Amino acid sequence: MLWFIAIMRAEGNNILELERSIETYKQRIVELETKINEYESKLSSTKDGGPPAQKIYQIEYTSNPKAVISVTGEILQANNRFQSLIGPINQIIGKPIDSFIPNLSYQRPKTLSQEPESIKFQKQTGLTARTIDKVHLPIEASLAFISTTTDYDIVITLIDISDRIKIEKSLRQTIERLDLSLSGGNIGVWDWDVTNNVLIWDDSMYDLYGIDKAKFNQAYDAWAVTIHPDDSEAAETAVQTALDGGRAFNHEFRIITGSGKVKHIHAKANVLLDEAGNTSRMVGVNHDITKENVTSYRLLNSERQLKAFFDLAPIGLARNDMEGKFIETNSEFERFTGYTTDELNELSYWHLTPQKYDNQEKIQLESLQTKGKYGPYKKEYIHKDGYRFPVLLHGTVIQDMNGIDNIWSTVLDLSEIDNTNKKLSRSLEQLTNSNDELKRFAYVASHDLQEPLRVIMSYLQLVQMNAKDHIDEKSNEYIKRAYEASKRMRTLITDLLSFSRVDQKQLAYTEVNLSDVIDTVLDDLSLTIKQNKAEINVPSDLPSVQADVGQVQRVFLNLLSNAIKFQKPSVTPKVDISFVEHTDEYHIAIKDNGIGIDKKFQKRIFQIFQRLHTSDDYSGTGIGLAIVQKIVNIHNGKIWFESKIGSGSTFTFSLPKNQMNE
Amino acid sequence: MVEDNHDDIIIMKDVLTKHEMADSVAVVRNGEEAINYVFKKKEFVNVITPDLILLDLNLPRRNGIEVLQDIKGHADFCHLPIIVLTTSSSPEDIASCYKAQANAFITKPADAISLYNTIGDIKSFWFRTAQLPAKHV
Repeated sequence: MLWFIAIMRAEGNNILELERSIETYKQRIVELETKINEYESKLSSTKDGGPPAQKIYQIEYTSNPKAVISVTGEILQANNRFQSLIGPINQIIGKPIDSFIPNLSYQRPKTLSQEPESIKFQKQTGLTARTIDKVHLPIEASLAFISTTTDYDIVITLIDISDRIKIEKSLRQTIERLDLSLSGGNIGVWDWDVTNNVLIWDDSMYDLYGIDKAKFNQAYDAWAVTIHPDDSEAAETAVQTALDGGRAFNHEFRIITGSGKVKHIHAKANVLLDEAGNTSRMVGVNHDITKENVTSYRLLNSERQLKAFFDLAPIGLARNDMEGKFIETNSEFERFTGYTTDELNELSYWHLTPQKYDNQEKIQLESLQTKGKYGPYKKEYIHKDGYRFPVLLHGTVIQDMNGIDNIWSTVLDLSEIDNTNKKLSRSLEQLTNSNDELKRFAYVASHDLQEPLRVIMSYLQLVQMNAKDHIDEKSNEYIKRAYEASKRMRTLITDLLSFSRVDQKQLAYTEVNLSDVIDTVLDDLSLTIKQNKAEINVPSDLPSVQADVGQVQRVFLNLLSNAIKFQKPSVTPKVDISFVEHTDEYHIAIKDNGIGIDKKFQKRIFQIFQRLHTSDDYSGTGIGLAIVQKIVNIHNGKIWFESKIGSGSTFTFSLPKNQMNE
Repeated sequence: MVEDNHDDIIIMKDVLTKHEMADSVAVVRNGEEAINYVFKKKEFVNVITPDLILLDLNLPRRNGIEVLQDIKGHADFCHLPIIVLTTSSSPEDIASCYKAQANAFITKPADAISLYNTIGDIKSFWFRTAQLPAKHV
């Protein structure tokens, strides 16, 4: 960038200096002329004493072109300078000023007093004068509105700014030249007149800042407000430091563009001193480095993340060269191998691999060479302490920055997983075994228990039949009691047998219509219902489910007979069956008005042979609900109840609409 | 009667006595003896062919089903009525016995009084209601 700053110094600096002196000079002249105008006006108005038809203004003795026009814009007077600029007097007097200065506005200023001799000045810029010779000149005009007794006159002073335009043009060209050579590089050029606080930007600057040229007020603050709030203090301090020390400015900051985008700017500038050695200008460039910055920030960030992953990963990670030498390892890898990073850097993976894996290693190496990756495959590593442990490896070839191939591997320490798996499958096996054993036991025991029991009962009966008259009454009573006890035992055995027969493996799922099921069950229970005068309410629209029909019948049979059985004396049993449809299942409820169940028996009630009442009060072995729960469970459903002592219970069970096919 | 259980034999004999049938019942204790008895082999050369066989299923040596198959598969003895009298009530056993041409399947009653009634039923059906084949066909 230095080459262009050199140009700015050599060319731009001189032009600007020149331009500024001309400008100052011209301003002075305008001020003087205005004063002269005032004097002249006063002079002319007092000289004649009375109101003349046409007032003559003293406009000859000034260095600027001057003319007097009427309210309607008609040229009344013109001095020599005006004539030499626009045209000879005979061709301009009486003509409308508009034909020479088309855009001139000469309407009476609102603030002009009616009082004769009142004056108002007005400056108009950006005008073009058209001479008699059809030459177009850039001009500025200074207008003096002077009230007369009747109306007002206007004295116009023209300033030919052709020279200034030329200078500006050449300056602009210099910047444009630079602009052109810098365009496409996201570089803008700026020039700040520190003394007068004028900031000139090239087009690239406007593009860069996304600001409309017309809306930029060309001062330091117009730039300062664009700086990102977080960077503004540092940036402004850097500018101040450069100014104070007369040093080069080199700073990076962010800006917020006109469209609200954040850009990263690298600014460089030189501070220029005037003859007195004071800071007068800063000339420099802005370079948009957003892209570079964001990219490098992202890179840095993802590198940091990767580093964190690498360090914290619960899986071993290693980078090896193609010979197998360790280049990089993470802490997990170091943990399970027992080596430190430095020790590993001296080793190759062959040191960690038992010899018996040589052949497998060869296969994986081949895969690495042909497919660029290897694994996943299981092998063993040798720990620093000499023992072996199982690992799962998976890896790929990645080229590093220098174009050298590296092997990246993930290494999972399987020792714990292997142990856990072994333990799990052992427990599962044990569980399955003991479960099968239990089932067999329950079946065989109940089956084999029945035999001798049948014999005992038979003998007892035969004794009663054969020797009834030969034994005393007490003995007879004992025999009777022994027989009754045997009968109870037989019921228990039968129940145990039926409980052990409820087995998932023997379920036969079909589409079961619950209305049909209830019909069958009510038929079976008809005698009980009749005897108890029970009222059973069944909804007409019971759904169908996939289930084992016999088992579902058992569920309803047990629940309904419980609902009828556990009843207060003198109360007529009333049982309501209802159901609720859910997404995947039905909830079926059986509500009774019976004796109710204490909530504290919630768990026990579903256990096998759990009875809440003596058999004198309510008969049964306590198998019913255990079987119900078992059946519901193996149908992937659940059973629960709500109850209030003395007013009844509601047993609800869920049945899936469809059974999963296994 | 083919029955291995000693208690069952005693109980059965008691019940048969009550029905005044004990003297006309011969008892063998396993499947092999049952076959030999019917086929008049070994020590059973001189026995009389029974009118009716009460067969337990759970037997030592050869089980009840085999005995059933052997007898029903033998041209000379397939006409003999065989009543399976067993503790089993499993549908599989029932089906396979009838498949092997058992003439009836009766689950052993659980107590003596029931057994007494059952034997009474058998007696009345097979020896009063039904006609048995002649001794030498």
